[in-house]
Amino acid sequence: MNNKFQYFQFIKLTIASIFLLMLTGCATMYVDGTTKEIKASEYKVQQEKQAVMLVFEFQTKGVANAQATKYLKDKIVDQVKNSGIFSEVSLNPVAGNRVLSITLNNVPLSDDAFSKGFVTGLTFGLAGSSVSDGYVCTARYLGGDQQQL
Amino acid sequence: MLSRGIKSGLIMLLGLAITGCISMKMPEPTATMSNLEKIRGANVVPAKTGSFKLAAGKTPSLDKSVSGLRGSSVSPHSGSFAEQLRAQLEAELKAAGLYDAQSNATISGELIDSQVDAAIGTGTAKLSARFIVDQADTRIYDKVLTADASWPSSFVGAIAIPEAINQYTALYQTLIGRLFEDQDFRQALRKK
Repeated sequence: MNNKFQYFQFIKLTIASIFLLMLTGCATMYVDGTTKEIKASEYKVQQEKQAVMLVFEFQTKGVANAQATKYLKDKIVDQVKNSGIFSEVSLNPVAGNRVLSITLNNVPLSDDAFSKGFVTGLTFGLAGSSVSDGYVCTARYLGGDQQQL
Repeated sequence: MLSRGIKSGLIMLLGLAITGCISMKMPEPTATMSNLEKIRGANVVPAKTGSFKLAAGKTPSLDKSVSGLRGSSVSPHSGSFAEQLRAQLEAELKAAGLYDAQSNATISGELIDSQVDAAIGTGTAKLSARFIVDQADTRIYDKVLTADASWPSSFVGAIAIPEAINQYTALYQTLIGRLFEDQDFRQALRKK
């Protein structure tokens, strides 16, 4: 009876530990170093800069993600402004009607990311795993006459 | 007694895995490139937005909340899904330089259907509204348009619920895109 009680207590403790592990995380993230960062000073900039309206959208697996768009929009606007390529970067229509569209699409590069994470969590990290996340950035620049430049 | 305890624990784990607890407020709508290209290429006159409300005969909760998200919820930015649709339309028109508060062309609407289901297997979402365009007290356009989506939906709530929320919120952009593509709408507002 005492052994059964202790065993039951152990099961409860294990389940409680799994719940706590689900609330926390223990992961290391790496950014792929093959995509090099180029400083704004190294950009080739036209002498006659143009004003542009910026349209940004973040997608998750090709579907618009409004929350992520809202979170990242200001950072993207700052980055485009700081590039020095345009005379003005606005979220509203500008003189000349030029538009710069930036779409960032988060795509999975690993299959069964959840099941890998589940196994790692279930084994308390003894069975490690790695998953990859991909980001496809598409930039389009339209002139005032809708022509893609 | 021992096996009952284990069963209860496993059922609790299963319940936690398939459900979730996200409460999300939709952000303020922003223009999208695809809709911008559609309306800019339509050669239409500037317009303003009028009243967007729930269609007559519909339950008031249709305009305030959506169920089918396994215990989670998504609410409109300003408290009304009809208003969310109006705001999306206005954002798209403004980005295209085609919003004019003084225009005699007014686009108003009625929300008819709003649903999302993060079911295990296949998730679905649907948004339907009646769009009305009046120009100088004359009705020049009146049509019901619908946007829907379906996608593979995970067993795991933590994956399925955010995906369902994304799919549902994207329908507002899709529905406005349908309006901009509609030939009757383009004809009604075409520049003379």
